[in-house]
Amino acid sequence: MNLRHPQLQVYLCDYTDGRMTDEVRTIFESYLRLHPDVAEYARKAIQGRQILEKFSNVPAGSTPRARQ
Amino acid sequence: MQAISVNGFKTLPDEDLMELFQGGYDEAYTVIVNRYRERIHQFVYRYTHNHLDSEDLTQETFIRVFRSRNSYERIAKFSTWLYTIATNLIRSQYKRTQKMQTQSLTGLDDSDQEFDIELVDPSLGTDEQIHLRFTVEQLRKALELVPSDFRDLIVMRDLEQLTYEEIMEITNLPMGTVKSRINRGRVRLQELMGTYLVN
Repeated sequence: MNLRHPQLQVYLCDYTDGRMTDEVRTIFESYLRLHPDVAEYARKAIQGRQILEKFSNVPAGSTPRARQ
Repeated sequence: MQAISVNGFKTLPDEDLMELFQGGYDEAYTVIVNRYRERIHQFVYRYTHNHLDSEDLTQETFIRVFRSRNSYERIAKFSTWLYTIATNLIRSQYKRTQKMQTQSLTGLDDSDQEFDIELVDPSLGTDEQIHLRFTVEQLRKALELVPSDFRDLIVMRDLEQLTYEEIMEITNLPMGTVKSRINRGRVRLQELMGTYLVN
């Protein structure tokens, strides 16, 4: 499946957000094992989300307080 | 109608407050403003990068809520309606100035220094504060390089913690497009930042 495929993007977003059911996640992770390019994309998306989430509680224009 | 105390208003959901406001209870409007003023200010600041502009746009947002209270219908979540107003004002401001700056967590101009100092976390040591300031600055710079179509959505989702449904309503984009752009924004940010902040 092409990375630009709309349904794949929806799956990737749900996976990144941890919103998949256990059953769907297991299937999707099997898919990722067969498609390393998609797995790499998912890894980057998860890290990108973690970076932002870490600072989501920083008031704009203030000194940061990292999320615990 | 039975009198309701302002203190009683504070526990009501937004949509109930709007109905009370529409019914003539101006105190409900005050509760709404107090509930959302800081959040909207921060939301706007992430785009304007300027506290004065952010204050103006935040005030304008609530003026619009006041003036347009009768156009609000309960079928829409109030916060979505409110963020839509703020987003439209940000866009209008951007069109006017054509110099909207990107998401910022620090990068203050001189006039903001006092505000910055007041918010230093006293529980952090000096080294930690310097490190955090540095990493936030890296994040600010990285976000500036993320294309705005993606950046706007990851700001709404991952920094403002809006739901996908709220983002859909605010942006008028279908769910698939919202999720795709959020993915691409997160990936782009990660590529710019590496694993710097994760580890």
